[in-house]
Amino acid sequence: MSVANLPTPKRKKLPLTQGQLALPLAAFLTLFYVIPMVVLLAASFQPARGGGFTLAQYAEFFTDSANIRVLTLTFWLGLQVTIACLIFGYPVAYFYHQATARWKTILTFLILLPLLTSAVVRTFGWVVILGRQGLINSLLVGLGMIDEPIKLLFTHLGVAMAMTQIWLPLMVLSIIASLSQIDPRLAAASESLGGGKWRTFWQITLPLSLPGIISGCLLVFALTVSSFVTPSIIGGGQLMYMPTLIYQQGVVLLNKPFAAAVSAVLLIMVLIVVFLLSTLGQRTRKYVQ
Amino acid sequence: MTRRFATRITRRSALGAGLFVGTSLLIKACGTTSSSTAGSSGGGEILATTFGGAWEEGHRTYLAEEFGQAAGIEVTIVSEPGLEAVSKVIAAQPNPPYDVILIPEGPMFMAEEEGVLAAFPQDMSENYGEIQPQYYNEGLAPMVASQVLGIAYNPERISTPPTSLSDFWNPEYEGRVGIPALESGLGTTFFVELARLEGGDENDVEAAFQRIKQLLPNIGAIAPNPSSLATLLQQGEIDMAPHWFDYISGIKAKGATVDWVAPTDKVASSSSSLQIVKNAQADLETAVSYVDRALSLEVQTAMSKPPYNFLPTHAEAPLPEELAAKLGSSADLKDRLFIPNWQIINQNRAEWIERFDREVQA
Repeated sequence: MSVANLPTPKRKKLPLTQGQLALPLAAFLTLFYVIPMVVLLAASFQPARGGGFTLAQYAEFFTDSANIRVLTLTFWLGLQVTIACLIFGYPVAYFYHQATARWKTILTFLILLPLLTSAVVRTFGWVVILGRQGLINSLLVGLGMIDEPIKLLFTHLGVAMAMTQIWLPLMVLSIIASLSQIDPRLAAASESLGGGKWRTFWQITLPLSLPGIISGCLLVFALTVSSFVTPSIIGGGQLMYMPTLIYQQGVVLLNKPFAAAVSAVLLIMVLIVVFLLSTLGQRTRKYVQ
Repeated sequence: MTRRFATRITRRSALGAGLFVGTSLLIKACGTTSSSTAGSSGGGEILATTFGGAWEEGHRTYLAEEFGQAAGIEVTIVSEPGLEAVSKVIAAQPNPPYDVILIPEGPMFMAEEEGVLAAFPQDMSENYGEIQPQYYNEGLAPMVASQVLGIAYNPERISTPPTSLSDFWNPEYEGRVGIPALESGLGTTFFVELARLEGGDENDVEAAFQRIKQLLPNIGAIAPNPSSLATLLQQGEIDMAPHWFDYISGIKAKGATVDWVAPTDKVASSSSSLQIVKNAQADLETAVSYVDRALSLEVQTAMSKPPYNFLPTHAEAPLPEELAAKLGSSADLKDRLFIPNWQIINQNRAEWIERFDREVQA
């Protein structure tokens, strides 16, 4: 049931239909998203010099093993960060859901706090933490667990750690939104029928929070694979991901058609994941209803 | 479920959320500075780019502000790396976002080839004739400053100062050397200098690739740009790296534990120029006056002093004192400078970068 169809006897009927209300946003998106996207896709079918139609950019991308490695590494990063965010984020969201009103206020502030700082600042914070003389290495050396500092900066692991912290709030917020939709009487009913806390969680809470998990995964994956600043600062010049490849081709080498083709490949990768997760989301939504 | 959701959104909560988002954006916005305006209310206005750090500070203080006040022109300075500026100008050719752009040699030749730079009218520039011969560009504005490449190191961790770029290969420095990625001007200059040291040139870099591969055990980091390379040096991530004199002397003056030595052999350099963009919004006279001001003895002298320390291109402007002490006299410098040919480099650079990605990067 949609919001507009709710019985609202005391309110006047809105003069605009839902479709008309969406018009400004639709116009905005057409102008600043759809048209640039069409231009981008058209550019990816152009040769490096001159006009015409060619599939050469895509052929060049998929025939070079270095590019395939960049694509695989980017997908792998997205997957790792999404799973890590889910593992760390779910308990926080669950704790929030169970907390008292006073705790909820404090937790809301704590969860949103990182979002108030720019990703660039948080990334530089991670440079300090991951460095040879950084927090992690100093701690491990201090505890006598390692003799020599381990290399974390300029590694894939370092990038994944920083990205997990940066996108974690989005996963937590999505799951919180989903958990708050669950009717608390369901848990009470489960308990009254002899269901233990674990059983209630596994069979009721977790399945009903799946829509939140899926939307959180979607957000985190899409934002991770398209991130530029954090992978370039934490990964340095030794690790190449799709956004860094796009920058290199588009800005440094002025090879716009190839940069456009790489962008299109990245977009298709994200769309495939969105499609798969949305299909899963549809199924879970049926279960929830 | 929808009903539950709908009834929970109250006007107060919506206002609260709006206020929170608005405040967040405001706090974020306070932390970022992309451009600012100098000068006074007057006839025209001009939008020029500069690089970050010492370039921006020097250009704001000695170029934009004084030019704006003297000419009654509103000068807006935007901090933008050369490649990004060229990329934006090419993308918006009929209506470019800037009037004058500060660009190093590489991007300058790329922009010239794309036809986005306006010819520089020499006769309208008072200071054009005062520039040293090696800094002229055919048809374009001459260079405004130059940077020299040497060895930056951490004096607390390296007791014997290095004397040559070949010291990077010393097994003693395993995992302690940082190099800039080939995408940056610093990285390409270092790479071409390496080729020259190995008997090659801008067309023959095979030996340089082999040398870089041999350096891999010593490489602690490949930084994407000069500023991140300097950060790594300050943080103790690396102890030695090829770097610009001006940059290192600038951070040293601010208290960083770094020092810089000139290699005993040739000293590679990279110069930058202020170029007028084709179809610029500002009138040609204003744009030429702005570039001319950057070529003047006053501005070049100011930019050659600490904390900027750029190598001037004006024939009368003095060398930075600290650099002169490290290099010897000005006459010697002409013989010691190695100015790479960026027109040839640009033809090969894409291939080098792709090979570098494949062979050197993880």
